[in-house]
Amino acid sequence: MERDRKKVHRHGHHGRHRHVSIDSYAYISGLKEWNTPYKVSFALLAILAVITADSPAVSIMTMVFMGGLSIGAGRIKSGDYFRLMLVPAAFIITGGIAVLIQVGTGAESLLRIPFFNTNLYITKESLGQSLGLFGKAFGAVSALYMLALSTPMGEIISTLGKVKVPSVILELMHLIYRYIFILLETNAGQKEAAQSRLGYCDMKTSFRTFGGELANLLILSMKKSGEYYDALESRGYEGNCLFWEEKKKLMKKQVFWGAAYVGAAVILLILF
Amino acid sequence: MTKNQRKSIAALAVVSVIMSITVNSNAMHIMEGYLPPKYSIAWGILCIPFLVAGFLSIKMKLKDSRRNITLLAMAGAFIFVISSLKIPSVTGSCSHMTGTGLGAILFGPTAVGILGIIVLLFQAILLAHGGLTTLGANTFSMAIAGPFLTFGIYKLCMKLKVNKWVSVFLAAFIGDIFTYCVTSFQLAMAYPSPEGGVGASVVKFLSVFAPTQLPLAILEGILTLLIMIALETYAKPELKMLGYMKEAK
Repeated sequence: MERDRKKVHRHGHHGRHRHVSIDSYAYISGLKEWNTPYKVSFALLAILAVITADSPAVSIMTMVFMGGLSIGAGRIKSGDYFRLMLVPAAFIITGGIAVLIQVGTGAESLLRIPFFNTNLYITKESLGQSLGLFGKAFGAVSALYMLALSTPMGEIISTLGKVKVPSVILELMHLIYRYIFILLETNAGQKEAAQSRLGYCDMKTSFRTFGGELANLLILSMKKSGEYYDALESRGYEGNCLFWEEKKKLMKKQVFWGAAYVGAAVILLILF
Repeated sequence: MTKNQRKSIAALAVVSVIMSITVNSNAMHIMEGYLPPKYSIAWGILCIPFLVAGFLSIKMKLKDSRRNITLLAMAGAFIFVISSLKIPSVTGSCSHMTGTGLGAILFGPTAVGILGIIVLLFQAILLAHGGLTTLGANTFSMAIAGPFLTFGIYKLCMKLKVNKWVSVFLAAFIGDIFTYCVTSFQLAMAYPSPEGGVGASVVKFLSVFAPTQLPLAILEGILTLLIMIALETYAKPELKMLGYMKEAK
């Protein structure tokens, strides 16, 4: 297990296993034993608290609380956790700039720079709004990570079943989730084969190879889909996939953390 | 150099440095926490009619033959995979396709709506692209608006007898641009400028994301074209199988 986990991370930046790194944590997290519907509601509650309260104090508290929960109780390595937090950073920063910088006459601005016929400027409000947005986005993402880094996809799908999402959709989700890994593995093989034949030697060839790989992947996947249906049917599939689920009890400790979060949020909202 | 000129150059330098940080670009998923609740809910509601239509079309397909379930699931997985693979590049930047445009051409826009929302949920949870409260807005821009326009342009070009490859490129390219415009609009509605309102804010978001999204749209067009050429060359029977999927609404 430990070695597998390292392997996933060594490939972390090279695209090949990048997509699985969050998923692979979900199976080794210390929070895995938590009752799933409770965990989903807790994460959603925290996200909603961050975006409705719109208060920097609540955002920062959520970031610290959820980060602590993921790293402390979930035993995610802190280096990996911070690296994962950087994934959404590009969007958050770019979007934040658009909120921060205003265009126009710019009376009463903190900083004003002439730009062609108009001015780019920053006001106290826009600075506050963009910093608030930074906080909200990172706070909400940390709550999303608490869930994503500790809950295998199968459990999330079965939780969706509890809120009456149609079974056809759930079945599609289960199958898509499995097929993603099959296709990714197939593509890794394709890529290796193409690379060893100098398929990525220059820009033009790379594009041609990449396009060819994906077209081939589609052909393969369409061909396999028939076989997979036969495989399903031979195992007694009659239009309904049943999955075994672990029973996860709601423990006092879990309720305590939820209550602690709500308590902290309420206190901060009263104070600030 | 006057003081103003120096200031302008400094500003441009700052902007370009920031732009180069964000070269690691994905399609424009609005991140978790970015939209106030009001907008999250509104965009979610706007998706419902399209999702219901998609759901019914999927049900119909399954009624035709249960075997279509694995085909649809493969289509969904394929969309996820093409959107998660790194596009080859010289600069070492890390960009990804949207994939929903190609999906719309291959599988039809109604089915892509449902597959798209599933893929977007998986992207949020497995890749941290997008989020749960922004799922509605992202679904609308990436799984509904973009694919429908792509499909419309593709069909229109076919009717007008435009060269097939030109129409594939145009459809994917314009669909991508449209997704980027819709996302900018969604962000601007949530964060209007005090001076100039939503309109000015749209321009801001469009220009901030332009350096990453415009090249990405061109790449998306070229790659969709290359994939379609390869499919047409090697996979006529499979394409027919998919064509059947599209007609069986």
